[in-house]
Amino acid sequence: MADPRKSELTEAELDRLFKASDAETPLPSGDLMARIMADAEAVQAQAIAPTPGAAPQSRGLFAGLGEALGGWAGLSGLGAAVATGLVIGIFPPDQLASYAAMLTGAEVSLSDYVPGDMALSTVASDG
Amino acid sequence: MALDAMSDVSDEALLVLYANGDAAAARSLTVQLAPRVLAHAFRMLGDRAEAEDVTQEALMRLWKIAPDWRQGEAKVTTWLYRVTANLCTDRLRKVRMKDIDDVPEIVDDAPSADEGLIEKARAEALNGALAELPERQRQAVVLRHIEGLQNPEISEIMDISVEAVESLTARGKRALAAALGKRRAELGFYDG
Repeated sequence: MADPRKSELTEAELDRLFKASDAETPLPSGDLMARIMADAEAVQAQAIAPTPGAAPQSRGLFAGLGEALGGWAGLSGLGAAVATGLVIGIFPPDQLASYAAMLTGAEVSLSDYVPGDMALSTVASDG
Repeated sequence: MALDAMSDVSDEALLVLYANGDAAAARSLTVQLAPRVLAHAFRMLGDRAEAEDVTQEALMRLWKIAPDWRQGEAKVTTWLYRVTANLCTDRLRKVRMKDIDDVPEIVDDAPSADEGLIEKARAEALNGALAELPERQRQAVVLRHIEGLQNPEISEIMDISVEAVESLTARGKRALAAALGKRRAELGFYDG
């Protein structure tokens, strides 16, 4: 028998208090459960829905390069410059007259395009 | 998926299902976790309304972290106990700052011979004495001796060593035994 005058509870008495406390554990009310579920559904809906104003996805290297060069307008200018460079490379300035004549339908010979001894006496015509 | 079908699914798996848009997973997690969070918060705070607010807030944090949850790093319950303890600590600090002496009072009425009333009086007396313990001692004692967790899990929740958990619970129990020893008679401990 425990001595009521003792100043401390025994281990066994403390254990009985712990068990009593466990038995008196409060349970969540229906209102609390409803509030928690409402939170869960709201967060879930928000996470699944697409975010308005979200940053556009990356469009890849070439799209980024095109943008850096000024978009479509910049790219078409660049294309024109490349084509011009190609024509000048094929037809050096001293042959530009022959190229112009060809474009206008005039008679030109292949020798006009081939320098020196390599020239062949072939006449080309646009018929 | 029906709730019954989820009774064997781990909390971690349920959280992944929730993050993928499964509404039933949210219900199952709420049913399993809310009572534990509320019980812990109530024992830490001694106030039901405050404990309910903490429960709602702790679970709100769980819902928000769900998409980023990394499986295998921690148990959901361990994480949730830690969040709950932090929320309780914040509230207790605010109460101390306001200097409000609203620690729940121990019921002084002598309990009737009815066993149910004695059990209730014991629970209330213990809760009152727990409220007087330093916060870390209280948390360790509650987790170990009322909620029945093992020391390694408590050490993870409290972010301290297992030895420190043992020390906290031992000191907490000694303090409780001393505080409640004077009330042995009213707690029905005449006959040991």
